[in-house]
Amino acid sequence: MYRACNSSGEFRIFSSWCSLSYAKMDSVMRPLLCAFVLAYATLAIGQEVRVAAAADLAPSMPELKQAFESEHSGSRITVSIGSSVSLEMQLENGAPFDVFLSADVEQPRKLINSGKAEAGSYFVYAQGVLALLVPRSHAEIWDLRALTSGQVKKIAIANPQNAPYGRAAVAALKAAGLYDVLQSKIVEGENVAQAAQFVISGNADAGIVSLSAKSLAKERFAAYPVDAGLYPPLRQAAVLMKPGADKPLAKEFIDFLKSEKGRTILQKHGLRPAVAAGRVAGKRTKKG
Amino acid sequence: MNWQALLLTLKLAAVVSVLLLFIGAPIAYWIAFSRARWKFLVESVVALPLVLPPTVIGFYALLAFGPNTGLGRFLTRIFGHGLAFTFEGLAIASVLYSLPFAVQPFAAGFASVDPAFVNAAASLGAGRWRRFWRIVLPLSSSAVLTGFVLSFAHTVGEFGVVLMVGGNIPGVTRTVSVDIYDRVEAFDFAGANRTSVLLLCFSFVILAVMYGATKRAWRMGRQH
Repeated sequence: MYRACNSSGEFRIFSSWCSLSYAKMDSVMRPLLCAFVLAYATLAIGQEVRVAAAADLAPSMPELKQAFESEHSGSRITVSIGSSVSLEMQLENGAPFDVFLSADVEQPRKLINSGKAEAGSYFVYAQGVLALLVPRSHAEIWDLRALTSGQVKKIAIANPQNAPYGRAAVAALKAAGLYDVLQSKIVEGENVAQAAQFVISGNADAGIVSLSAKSLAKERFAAYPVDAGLYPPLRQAAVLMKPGADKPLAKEFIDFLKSEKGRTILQKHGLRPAVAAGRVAGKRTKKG
Repeated sequence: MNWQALLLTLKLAAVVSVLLLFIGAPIAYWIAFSRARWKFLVESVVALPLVLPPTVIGFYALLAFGPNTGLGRFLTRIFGHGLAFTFEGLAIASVLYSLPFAVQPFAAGFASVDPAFVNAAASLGAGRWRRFWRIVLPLSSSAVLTGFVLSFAHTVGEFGVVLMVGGNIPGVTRTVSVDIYDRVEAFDFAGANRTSVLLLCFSFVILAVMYGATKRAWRMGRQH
């Protein structure tokens, strides 16, 4: 499209800048791109575990990654963060990940049902906590009811269609009888990390997000757990994806989440230990 | 079909392309006729949105709209409210995002006007303003139209910036591209498809009309 049409006069006006910059970019970019692809391919051959993680894990993943990599020398964890539903969607369509850490139990189950994930690996690794994230300067806001205050103009939540924490936030507001009053103040982030970031960047006055977002925020922010009775429990499940089935390290990463060390890191970042009653099909013995 | 999102998108694109007509034309005029040595720097700045990921624009827009930066506090005072999650904020971010799609065709059009006409008008006493309105603009009208249509179409296709500063509010910032994204995420493929087909047709028609029109204009010019 860029190069074919340079014969007609007036048209040249519009096409010339396209073709010029395009051609230049092409000659520079192509060797660069090749180099990157080669470098990446060489790196990836090692012991890589590709993890797709729900956005509430954004604060804990770097620490989990570091701890795991130092225990397994030569291993490399690569992390992609997204909302659970959009990750599930990508995995459903063949996204190359070895481990999926969801913020709910439905998405991993869907992947097991469609044969994309290993049924035996399903395991509830934590229970999420919904929290009200507000700047400390808004000292009077510490529960959902206070959000009706005129001082609060925008309330950030995760997109309820894509993100379990978004669903939980809407459920909590409805249960508290505040949804209709507050609906006009709600702004949605694509996932819970983006919703928290709306608050941290000061663009929203408060957020109903994950307690884990507290570790993304600085000291200037306070996080108050929302009454757990107001929303269905946020049980979060991990599952081994088919591409990770023959990677011992991928299995070990899931086991690492069950280990004392893994659980400690998760708890440090605002996730509660999973309630034992969960369906723990094919539970593996913990590594020593 | 989400008519609310579609109408909002058309409104945003119309506002942005009209704003760009007024903001882009002076910049383009300067680029076309200035002999300043550092002109290439301005050209580079104008072209930045072609190369930059929308996330960079979205990120800085978010900082610029929030109360944590001086610019954010200044804009908040001017508009009386924070700009994130508002139509005005989206329009401002979109003007930046579509800037090169207006300025570059404008500038190319202005520059292609035969300087003999402009010089003749100047020697007959026409001032810069008059030369622009009576000589440059009429002779580059199809380039201006091209820039207008391109910036309109490009704004309709905007996604990343809207996702970052929009907040997905129905009727305010939920544009048609975000609506499609939400539907795909919700596995509503039929709904996503209806809107996507409409956008596909719309984009094709706009480009076809533009390509067709500029070609005809050129042919007519040659016959005379």
